[in-house]
Amino acid sequence: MQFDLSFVISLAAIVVMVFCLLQVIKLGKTVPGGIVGKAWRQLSALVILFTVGYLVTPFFSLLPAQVINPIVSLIFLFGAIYVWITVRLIHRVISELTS
Amino acid sequence: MQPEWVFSKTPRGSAELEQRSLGLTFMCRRLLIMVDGKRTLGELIHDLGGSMDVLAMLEKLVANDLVAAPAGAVMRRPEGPHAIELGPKARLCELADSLLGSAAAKISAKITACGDGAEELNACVDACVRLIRLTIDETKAAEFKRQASTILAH
Repeated sequence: MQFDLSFVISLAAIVVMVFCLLQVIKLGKTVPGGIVGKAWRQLSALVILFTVGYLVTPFFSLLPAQVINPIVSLIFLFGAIYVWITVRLIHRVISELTS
Repeated sequence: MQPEWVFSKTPRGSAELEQRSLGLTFMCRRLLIMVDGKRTLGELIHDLGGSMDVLAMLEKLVANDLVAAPAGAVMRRPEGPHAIELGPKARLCELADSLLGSAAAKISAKITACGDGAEELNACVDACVRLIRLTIDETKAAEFKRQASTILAH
């Protein structure tokens, strides 16, 4: 494990993501269901996935490139899915409120 | 609702009488004072001059957790010769209770807080449908909309 700038950034990312995970669990109790509840559950699953993925990043220097590359690609893919779900949810909420 | 039902004040209701924090109307406050765990619904209506508004006010007090309904009682339309005809707001609250169960509190509060005019009720139902669709269940929102339209059409 290398203690350089990327390690510090990874550590900061992990702290933020763990905070997000705690928020998702805490706030999720107030979202019973419906469109928001469904999207919230999907986003919660992705946050759990991100947390696990981020926890691996400090150990990247110990892993072979053929393992790191798919992990990074998967994080990017699920990041894109997260954005898609969020954008769609915001659009649905705005549509409901303005209809 | 049945005339023999007996309602009682909740701890929140007792506190409201002392604190006056919710800004209840004169009639609502009077009803809250009269709800004592002994008077029946029929007696309350009689003592308040036979006003059918008592039912809507009672729904509002129950929805705001100021008054507790009798044990095991479901706030639904009465049956039998002594039944009391509920107004559209009370029937909408009843619909929300039966359709949404424990998630109905916010919807019932929204309905009881809205005005009595047809336009206000229609706007309130639309807002409730949106709230149900967003935070409770899309299928139940459609069913609520369908049944609420029937209630408001009469």
